[in-house]
Amino acid sequence: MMSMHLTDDRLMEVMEDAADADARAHVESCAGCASRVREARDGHALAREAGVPEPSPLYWEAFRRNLGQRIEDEGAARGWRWVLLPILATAASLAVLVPALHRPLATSPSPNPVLAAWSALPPADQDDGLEVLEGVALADADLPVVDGERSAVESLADLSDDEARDVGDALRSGLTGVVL
Amino acid sequence: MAATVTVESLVSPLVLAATRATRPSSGMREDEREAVEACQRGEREAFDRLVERFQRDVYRLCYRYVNNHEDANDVAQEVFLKAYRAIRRFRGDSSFSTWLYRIAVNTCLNFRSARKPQTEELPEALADPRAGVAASLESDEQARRVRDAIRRLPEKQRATLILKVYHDLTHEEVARILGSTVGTVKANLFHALGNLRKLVLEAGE
Repeated sequence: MMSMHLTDDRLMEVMEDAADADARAHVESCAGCASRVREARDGHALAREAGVPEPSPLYWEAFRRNLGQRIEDEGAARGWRWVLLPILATAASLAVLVPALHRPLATSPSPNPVLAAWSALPPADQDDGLEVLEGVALADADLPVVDGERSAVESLADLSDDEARDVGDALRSGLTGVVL
Repeated sequence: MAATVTVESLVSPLVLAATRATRPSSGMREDEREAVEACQRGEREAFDRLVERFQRDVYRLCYRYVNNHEDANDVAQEVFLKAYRAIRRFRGDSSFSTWLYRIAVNTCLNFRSARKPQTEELPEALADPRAGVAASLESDEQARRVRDAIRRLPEKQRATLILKVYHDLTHEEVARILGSTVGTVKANLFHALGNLRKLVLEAGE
């Protein structure tokens, strides 16, 4: 025998005529539970009285049209994102790859650096100009350095091969007998 | 000019059919499933069909929350936009209407929380102002009072009442939409109906 009041979910079942026999019997004998069921039924009746204002039939067309437009606008914006995405991805890849490609492959210097197989300069034992440069360098070292003026060695270093050869020949012919 | 409809006309035959007819385990009708699958393949026309089918239900649900046409329109549009964005992720575990109602309830709750409340919400329990209730009143004023009273119900009670009374969903469906249990739905509905009666009586005094 049920002496306590029914729980709300069971009272709801009574209100909906979906309760078991025990619950129904309890409500018939319990004034408190019976009153609550009546109040809920009243509330239900009130709720059923209240409709919502129904928009005009034309409204629904406008509703769908506006919604469709918003979906299209959103799709267009998304389309632009799809166009921009590969561009941004390419830019990002380049930003990573370019510095990586410019980085030296060997991280430690070779102890015996290999000279280039080809050089614009002749071998040292065949370079007439080298002998001249060495002589000039010795003389140049003894000369006072004037601010803003280039040294003789620096000036000679800027000459082309032909000019250097000409200067060498001129010095040889002009300085014959002078021990360099 | 807007006309007032009765509650009976608010109950969508489609929802009733979807909830009561013999149907697959997921609860979706075959034509509904086909429309959803077509949407997931990117067919816009299929989504338009779903909108046309559920627009009234969604609008009325939203109206129950916001209590005016302009906001109900905005929120209902937002509900369908969200559904469109997410439909590829809809797996058919529940019926489309259950899924859509869930989006609608969440959107309404977010809309309400983003706005300053116009009326103070009722505490969970109310003292009974007086015994007895007037007989059926059918005026627009009474309907407005009832709608205002519904708006003042606590969130879960309001959602349960709207879905159960105005959309005629089963307790199980309401539980799925609200992420609750059947027992809690029944208890919330019972509280909501009692509180609604009290609020309407207070407003009529």
